Amino acid sequence: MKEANAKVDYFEHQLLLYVEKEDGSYGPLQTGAYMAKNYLDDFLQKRKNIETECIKKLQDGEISPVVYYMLLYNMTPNDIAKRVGISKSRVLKHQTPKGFAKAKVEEIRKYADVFGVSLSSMFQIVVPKEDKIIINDKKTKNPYFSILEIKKSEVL
Amino acid sequence: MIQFEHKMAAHCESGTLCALLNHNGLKLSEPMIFGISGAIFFVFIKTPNMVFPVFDMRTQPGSIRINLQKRLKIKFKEQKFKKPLEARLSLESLLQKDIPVAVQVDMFYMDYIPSYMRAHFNAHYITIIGKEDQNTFLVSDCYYPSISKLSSDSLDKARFAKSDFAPNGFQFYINNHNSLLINENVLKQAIIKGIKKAAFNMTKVPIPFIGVRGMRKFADNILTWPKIARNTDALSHAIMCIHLTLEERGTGGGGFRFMYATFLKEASKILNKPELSEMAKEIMSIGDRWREISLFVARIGKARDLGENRLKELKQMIYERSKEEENFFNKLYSLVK
Repeated sequence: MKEANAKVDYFEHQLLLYVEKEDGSYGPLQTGAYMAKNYLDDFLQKRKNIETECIKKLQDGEISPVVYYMLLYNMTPNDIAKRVGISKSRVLKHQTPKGFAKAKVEEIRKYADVFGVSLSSMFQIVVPKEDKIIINDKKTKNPYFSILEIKKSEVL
Repeated sequence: MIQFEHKMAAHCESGTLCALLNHNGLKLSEPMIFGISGAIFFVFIKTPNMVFPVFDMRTQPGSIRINLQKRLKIKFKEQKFKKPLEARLSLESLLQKDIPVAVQVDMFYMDYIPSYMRAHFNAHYITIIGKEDQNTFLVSDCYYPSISKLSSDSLDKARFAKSDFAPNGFQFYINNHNSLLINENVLKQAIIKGIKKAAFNMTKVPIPFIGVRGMRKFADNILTWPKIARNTDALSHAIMCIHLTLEERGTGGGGFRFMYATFLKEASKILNKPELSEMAKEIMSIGDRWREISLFVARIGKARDLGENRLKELKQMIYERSKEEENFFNKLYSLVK
């Protein structure tokens, strides 16, 4: 690939490509990520669609939070089972509200670790009604307790 | 903090190896490390536990390090641990001796990556180069332009994530500088062995999901994706992931083909074989055509233009790449045998 064709102006997400330089030599070029620059909006919209669909199903009692995070992070029950350290059939059981109710607190904490959220986020989703709100679900040394900080963003 | 030259690299494993070797005085480029290890590859993976099949264009994680050691006759000190505390204490004691340590991690727990990039992948490599305070490590991650910070809690989780390619606290470093003294003949032999292995993997392995045969299998399989997909968004996402695998998941562009071209250019000089420079041009141009596929999938994915004809077009493009690569690697094999 010619150097001129590889350059993407996107500071937020940089990567390294190997290109043909103007003098005909081959070497590295640090540049912006083409996909992030041109298609991130589409990716985020798809995620938003999954969230909307899942939040409705969560509220209607059709699915458990395990399904919500599984779809959000594009994971499979098999992978989740290995990461949490339980059987796949147990994960499948936890996908319904009825099955989720029978999960142990320690299992739910492990799910939270795998999904990168606090334990409380396995029971509720915080939806800000105003723009420019920063939500920080702060973990503490106690794995069963977190502090939810809500503040207005100072950036306009 | 250790005086460590942080540089971005195309791929985390070859980039981490390159940075560690350079830090310890063995000046090899990232493409040379990639080429010697024979890492250029194609594998199509489909298991009952996957939603969509996937493909990769490099050999298995960890193999770059293993093959590099074998072919250059160099040695890294490698360790695995059973407990996070044990792993952390070992890491800290090495940092106190000013030894940078490469660790295998689950990328999901790298606090510094943007949230949209968060995905579980257990075979990411980073180099730990110091501590900022009691609970924060300083990280040289070759996917990021500058030194990053990582909490010790996140590092523990990342080093002991379970599932495929579980790191089990794996770390490696260089403790014997003498083992890095290599002569020109060893380097030349290593390059030839790396090229032979890569060409063999791409064209001669009699397994239908590996090498150029794997490309065709993958191309055929794409036509079944509309039946697997939960909805159009899911199909679009899976199709657009082809772009990510080819261009942005640490390949250096064109599914590692641009990096391999750079390796062949270097190899041509070291081996004094001008034919390899011509081969470099050829694989560079094959890489360009892989990039055409990348741009094609991004475009049809975003437009949700995912009808049968479009997928057949995509299949045809991949078939053409497989024919080109079959010719290319056969020719390359005959040049070094």
